[in-house]
Amino acid sequence: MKRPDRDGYLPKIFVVVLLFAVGYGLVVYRLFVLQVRDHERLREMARRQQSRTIKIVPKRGTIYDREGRELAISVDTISLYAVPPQIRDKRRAAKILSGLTGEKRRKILRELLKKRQFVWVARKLNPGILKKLAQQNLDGVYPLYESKRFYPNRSLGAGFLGFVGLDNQGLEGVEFQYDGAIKGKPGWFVAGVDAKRRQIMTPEEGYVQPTGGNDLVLTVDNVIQYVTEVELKQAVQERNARAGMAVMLRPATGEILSMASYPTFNPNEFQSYRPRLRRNLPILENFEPGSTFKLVTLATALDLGSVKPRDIFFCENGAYRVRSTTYHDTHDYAWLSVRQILQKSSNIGAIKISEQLDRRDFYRYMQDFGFGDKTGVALPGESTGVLRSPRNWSGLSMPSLSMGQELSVTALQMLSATAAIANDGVRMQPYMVARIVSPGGKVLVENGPRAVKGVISWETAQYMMRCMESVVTEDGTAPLAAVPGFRVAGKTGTAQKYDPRLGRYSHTKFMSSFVGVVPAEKPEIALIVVLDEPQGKIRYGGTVAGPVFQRIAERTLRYLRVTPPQRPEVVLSGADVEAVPLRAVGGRS
Amino acid sequence: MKKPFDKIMLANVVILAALGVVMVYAASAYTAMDRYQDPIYFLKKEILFFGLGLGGMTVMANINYSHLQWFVYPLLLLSLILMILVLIPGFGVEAGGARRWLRAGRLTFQPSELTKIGLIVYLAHSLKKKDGRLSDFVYGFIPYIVILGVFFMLMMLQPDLGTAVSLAAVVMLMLFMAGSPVHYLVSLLLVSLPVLYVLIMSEEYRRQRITAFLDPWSDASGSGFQIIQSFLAIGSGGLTGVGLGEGRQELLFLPAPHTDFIFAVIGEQLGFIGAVLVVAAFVLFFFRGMLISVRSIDPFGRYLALGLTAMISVQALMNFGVVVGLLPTKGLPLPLISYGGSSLVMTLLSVGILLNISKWNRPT
Repeated sequence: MKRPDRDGYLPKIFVVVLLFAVGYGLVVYRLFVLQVRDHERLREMARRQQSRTIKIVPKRGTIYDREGRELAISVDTISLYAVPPQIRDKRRAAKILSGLTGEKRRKILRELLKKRQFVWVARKLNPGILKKLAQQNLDGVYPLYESKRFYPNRSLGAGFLGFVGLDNQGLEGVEFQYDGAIKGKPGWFVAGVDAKRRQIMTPEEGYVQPTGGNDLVLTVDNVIQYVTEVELKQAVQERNARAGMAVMLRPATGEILSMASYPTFNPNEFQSYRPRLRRNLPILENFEPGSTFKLVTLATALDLGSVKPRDIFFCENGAYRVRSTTYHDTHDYAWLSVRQILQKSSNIGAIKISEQLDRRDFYRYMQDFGFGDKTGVALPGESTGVLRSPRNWSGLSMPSLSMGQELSVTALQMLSATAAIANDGVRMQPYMVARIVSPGGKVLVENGPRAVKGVISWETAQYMMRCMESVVTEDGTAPLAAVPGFRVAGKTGTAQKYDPRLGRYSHTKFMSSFVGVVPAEKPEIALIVVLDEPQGKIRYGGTVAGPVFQRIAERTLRYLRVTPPQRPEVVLSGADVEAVPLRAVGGRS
Repeated sequence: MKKPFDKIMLANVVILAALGVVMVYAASAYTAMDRYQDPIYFLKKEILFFGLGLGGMTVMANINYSHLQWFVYPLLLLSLILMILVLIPGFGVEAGGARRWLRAGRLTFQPSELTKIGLIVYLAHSLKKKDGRLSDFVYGFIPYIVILGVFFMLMMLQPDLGTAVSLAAVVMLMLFMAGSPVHYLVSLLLVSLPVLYVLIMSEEYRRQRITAFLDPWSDASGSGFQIIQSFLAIGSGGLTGVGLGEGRQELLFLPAPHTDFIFAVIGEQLGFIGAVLVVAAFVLFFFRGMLISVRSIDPFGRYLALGLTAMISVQALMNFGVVVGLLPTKGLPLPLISYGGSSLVMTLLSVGILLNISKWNRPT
C-alpha cells in the first residue's frame, strides 16, 4: 500500500480549503447584509408587492321625504370582475358570462382580451348571480360586493333628486349637491396577493371599516310630489305642451313640498335618457314671466305709496302708445282700479302703474323679491334668471318690465316672490333639505325657516292678497284655478315667447303660467304651474295652468287635511276699493 | 482494515436531504396548486426520489469503490452517448429553452448528472494511472482537456453553462491536486477566459443576466426581476425567518422557488440563522469529504473522494452565490435540497461512494 504524498497533497488541500472558505464566507456575509442589515428595507419592499389594499365601498345614505318615506336607497349588489391572464378559453368564458349577466358577449370578450390584471365583466347585478357563477366553475372571474343606488319610486322626484354614477358619485340634483354628506367614507383592508395579484387567504393585516353616508330628510312630501307630477304630466300631454314645471312650497317657512318637471326620467337608468329630459326645470329654465310679474309691479307701487288702493287708471280703451310702440290689452278697458288691473291683467294698467315708479326703486324691489339672483335652494346649477341693471335699460324697459318682459326668471323665483306676498311681505329662504342625519341617528344639520328679507309691508301684502283673490273669480283671469271651499289668491301669466328666429315675440309660442296661494286668508301652500308652449285654441295661463293649479292644490289640501279657516277676516282700510272715492291717476284725457 | 463509515458525513447528508424534502414542499405547494391543483404534486415526487436516493446511497456505500474502476470507460461512453442523445429533438425534452432531460415513459432523466460522476470516476482512475507523469503535456494534460472540452461543449449546446462551468472547475481542481503543473492550469484558464467571454456575450439572455447581476435595480421589473425577488425573499426573513410555510415570496414572485432559488425560500422562512446553518452543513460536508480524501488509502479513492466532494461543494457554492447575488444567474440546483430527481439521486449515490471510501480510510 502506497502512502499518500502528504507533502504534496496536504498543502494543496489547504489552498483549496481556503478558496472554499472564502467562498462560503462571502455567502454568509451576503446573507448578513440581506437579512440583518437591509432586512427592514427589503421586507417593506416585499410587503408592498405581496399585498394589495382593497377598497370597501361605503353605503350611500338614504334620502327620505319629510314623512320618512324613502326616495333613494342603497342596495347590496354583486359586481363581477375578471383577471384576464387567468382565463384560458376567453371565448367560452365570454359566452358563459354573457349568459349569466345579460351583457353583450362581444363586449365581455373585448374586456377579457385586454392585457390587464383587472377588468369589469358586469357591475351591480342581483346577488342571485353568486349561485349561478359558482355552478359555472369559471377561472379568473370573481365577485365583488358593491352598493348600488336605487330609486324605489322610479321617476318620482327625479328632477331634484338627480342620480349617481357607477362609482356611486352624485352626478345631479340633491345627490350631487349633498354628495359629501351622504357618500360615506370608504373602508379598506390589506389582503395578501400572489404575483398574479390574486388574493390569497391570509390573516388580514389591516382593516378599516367603511363609514356609511349620512341620511337626508327632505322637506318634500312624496304624496304631494306624486300629485304634482301626475297632474303636471296630464296637463302637458293634454295640452300638447313642449314641457311643464311646477313647484310648491309653504309660504310661512320656505319648505319645498314638491318640485316637478315634465318630461322626466327614471334615475335608475338615467343613461338611457337624453340630458334634455333630465333637467330640473323649475330651477334651470329661464323664461319671461309675463303677467305674473305684474304682482311685483303692483306690490312695488303700493308699498312705495306711489299708487293707492283707491286709485283708478285710464286704460286707453285697449291701445297705448309709448314712444314708437303700441301696447294692447286682451280686452279693451277704459278705467280700471288698481285691483282690477291685476284682476283683468291689463298691460296698459301695469304700464300706467309703472309710470308712477322710479326705475331704481323698481329695480330694488325686483331684487328684494329675489329676481336676478339664485334663490339659494341648494340644488346644483340653479339659474339666476336675467335682470339687467337700470343703467342698461332703454326707454321701453319700464313698460316692458311692468308686464313681465325684458327679464327672465325661474319658476322657483316667481314662486318665492309670490310666497313672500302671501307671507305678510317676508320672503323666506326656499329649502329642500330639512335634516342631515348620521347613520347612528344623530341629527347633524337641521335646517329651519329662515327669513331672507322683508320685501313689502304687512299692509301692502294683505292688500295684494285681496287683489290676487279677485283674479280667481268669474271676473278675473283665472276662475278655473278656484279650489272649491277655499279662497285662492293668484296671478296668471301668458307670456309670448321671444322667437330668436323672427327677432320678435312669437304669436304662437307661449309660456302659460299660474302662481297662486291657498287658503288666501291663512296661506298653507304656494304653487306655481308653468306650461311651455301649450297647443290649442286657448293658451291663456288662467285657462291652461289654472286648472292644473286647482287640481294639485285641491288634492294637496285634502291630503294635508287643511280646512278653510274659520277666523274672522281682517278688514283693511281702503280694502274695499269700490266703496271709497276714486282717484284717477295717469289718465291722458 | 475495514472500519465503520463516516457517520458524521452520513448524518449531515441525510439531515440536509430531509430538510430539502420539507423545503421543497414549503416552496412548491402554491406553485403546484396553481399549476396542477395539487399542493403536494412536487412533494410526492421528491419523497419518492429521496427514498430512491437513500437506497442507492446504501447500495453504493456497501460496494467496494475500487470496483468502480471496472466501469470507468463504459460509464464515460454511456455519458457521452446520453449527452449527445439529449440534444436530439425527440429524445431530449425541452423546458425553459434548454434541452437537458431525457424521457423514458413518465420518468425524465438529466444525463449531465450522470456525466458529472462518470467524468470524476474516469479522472480519478486516470490520474492514479498517470501518477507522476502529469507534467508530460501531451500524455498527462492534453487528453483531460480534450475530454473536458468535449463534455463542456455538449453541455453548452443544451445549453447548461452552470453545470459546464462547475464541471470544468472540478476537473481543474482534480488536476491541480493530482499534481498537474500549475502553469498548465493557469494557461488553460487564461486561454479559456476569452472563450467564456464570447460564450456569455453571444447570448442575449446571458448578457442580460450579467447586467442584471452587476446592477439588478437598474431594471427591477425586467432582467433584474429574478435576483431582486430573491433578495426580497431572503431580506424578508430577517434573523429568524417568517416561519416554515409562512413565506410569501414563493407565491409566484420568486422564479423556480423549489429548484434554483430554494435557498431564497430557506432564507425567507428560516431566516439568517437557518440559512447560515444550511451553509454550515455544506461547509461540514466539504470538510468531511476532504478528510475522506486525505485519509484515503489509495490515489483512486483519494481523487474520487476529492472530485465528488468538490463537485457537490462547487455546485452548492455557485447556487448560494447566485441566490445571494454574488454570481450572475444560471440554472443550477442546490444539491440535496433543490427539487429534481436526477440531481438528488445522483448526489446521494455520490455520497454513498464517499461513505464507502471512508470505510477504508486510514486511522488518523
